[in-house]
Amino acid sequence: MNNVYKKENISYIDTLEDHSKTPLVILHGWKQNKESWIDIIDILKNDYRVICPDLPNFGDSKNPKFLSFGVDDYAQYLEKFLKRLHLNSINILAHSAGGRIAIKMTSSENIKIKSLILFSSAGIISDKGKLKKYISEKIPKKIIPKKIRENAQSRDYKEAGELREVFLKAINYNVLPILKKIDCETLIIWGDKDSELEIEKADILNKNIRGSELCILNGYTHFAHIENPNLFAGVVKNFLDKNE
Amino acid sequence: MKNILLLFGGESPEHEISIITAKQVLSKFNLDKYKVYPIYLDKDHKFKYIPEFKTFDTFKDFIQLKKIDIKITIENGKVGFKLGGFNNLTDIYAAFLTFHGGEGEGGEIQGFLETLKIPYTGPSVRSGVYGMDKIVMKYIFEKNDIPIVPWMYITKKDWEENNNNCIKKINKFSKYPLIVKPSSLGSSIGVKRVNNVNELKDIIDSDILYDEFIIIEEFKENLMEITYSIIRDKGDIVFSLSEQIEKDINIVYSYNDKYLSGDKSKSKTQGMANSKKIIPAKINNDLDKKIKDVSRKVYTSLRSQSLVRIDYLVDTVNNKFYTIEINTIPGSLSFYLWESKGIQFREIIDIVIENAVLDFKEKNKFIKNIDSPLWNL
Repeated sequence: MNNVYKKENISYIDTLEDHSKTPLVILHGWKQNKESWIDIIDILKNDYRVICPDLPNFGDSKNPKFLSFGVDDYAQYLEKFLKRLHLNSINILAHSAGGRIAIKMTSSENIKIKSLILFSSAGIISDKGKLKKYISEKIPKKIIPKKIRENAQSRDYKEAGELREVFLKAINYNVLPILKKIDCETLIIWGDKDSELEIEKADILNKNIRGSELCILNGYTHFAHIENPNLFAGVVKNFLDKNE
Repeated sequence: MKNILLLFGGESPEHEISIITAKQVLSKFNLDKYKVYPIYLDKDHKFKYIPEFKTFDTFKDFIQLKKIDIKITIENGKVGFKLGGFNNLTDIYAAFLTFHGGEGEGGEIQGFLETLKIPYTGPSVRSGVYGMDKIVMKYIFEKNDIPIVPWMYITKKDWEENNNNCIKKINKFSKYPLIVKPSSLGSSIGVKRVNNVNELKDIIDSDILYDEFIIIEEFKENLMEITYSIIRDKGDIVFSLSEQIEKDINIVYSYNDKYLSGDKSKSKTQGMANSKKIIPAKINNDLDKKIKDVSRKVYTSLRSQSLVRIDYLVDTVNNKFYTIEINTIPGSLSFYLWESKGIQFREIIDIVIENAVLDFKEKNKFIKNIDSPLWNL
């Protein structure tokens, strides 16, 4: 059983054992939690100290002040949390919505990111996304029939509930301007059957991050880490070991 | 407890990659079962025992490295270290080799270990030589009906004596573009696509600094590169997941592209060499089966005896493929392609060690000494 702790209103798993390697911090996706990474943590903890928090507003990390968080707030809060754990240099593995936060954290002056792994990362706003945003926000409600307007809204938006503000701040956060500044080793992982975030975004990330590597997992979806933990962890380990 | 010599480093452009593989392997040994002695062959051809191989810093700090001076004795299946005082010789169960390229993969170290009667992982003397010399490899492929792209070679001597004559031969062989590569280097070093005679001259002038034989191949458009890792387990040949490597078709990768693409110390103006791979490769079942059938032929015809990786160029439109080469000690032992099949790195280590010991025993069953009456005459 992995060790679960709480600090700064953040509930997190910390495997603690120091393997003389840079620790790995895992950031989960939207409406996910630290438990969704248990299989991967169980494999990687043999080689790396792994820290996996419930991101603010998710899992057991709840606090009213988190309800207005934008991506920058998430990044700052996590930096503060990691500093409390006395971490100065880390590797990050970030999934989906966690990817935006990880990308933002690469520009941190407080924490050095040694290697960055972006798995089906959010943050690239597609043309389709821009159109949906325009329809749902800009065109007066009277002009667009309710049905069309609702169709333009994503499932996550509809189900966001009290997290709507957090959701809107997140999806409108474009990471593109930050990508060129990333100066740590970067691996991008994507399942080619990903129906949540289209695979073209992987190519955009790969083209815009200097010296990055892209690994496509053929036959896997947005949740490849759950579908084939051995394959997923193997790809991650191979990358981290090379950069250690 | 089984004593293992973990040998790595060596004189090779892939020296540093060898250290990485050694580190990965070292952390995966079952320490209840094995006692591992990491032995580093430095660039000055000195064996160094590294008792504390925890981080790569040991190898970055050349001054500290020079100071490591533990005398090593290796003889007839045993090894001894002089740590302060002299210690007893220890029986060696097997040597685990994680060299990439150079003498550690090309048969030289293998011959050394054969002489010392130490079982070793990786290629045998012969498979090391076949795997390192691309010309010999191609002849073996042709003899065994293993598909390869049309090729020719020239020698350093021919080039230096009459390069115009060489160019005429090359121009007669095929139209441009062409692929030019030295015969015996791994890691894509010195490999280049050339589009005209001037580029051809430039790369050959450069490649003859590396090798006395230069290979020229036809360039095939729009092919994808696919690799499989293969291991022999209890007599059966077992395949890992396949991996597809996508490259810009206009570039044939250099060592820098392959290994230093993530080197952030390079200035931003040097461009981006971003890589892309797909696991498992996107090929149909029919082609997958055909490639695996040929892989068995490659494995046996090159006398492979351990874990290897075989690279192919695949034309999915015409359902055709060409064999590029075998890699007799692949980087990281391709472990991530195995783990997804449920074979953990730790098990791979066990399998290759037991194969090495078994092969060693089998080899020693053959009659080697024949009593000669010569001295009785």
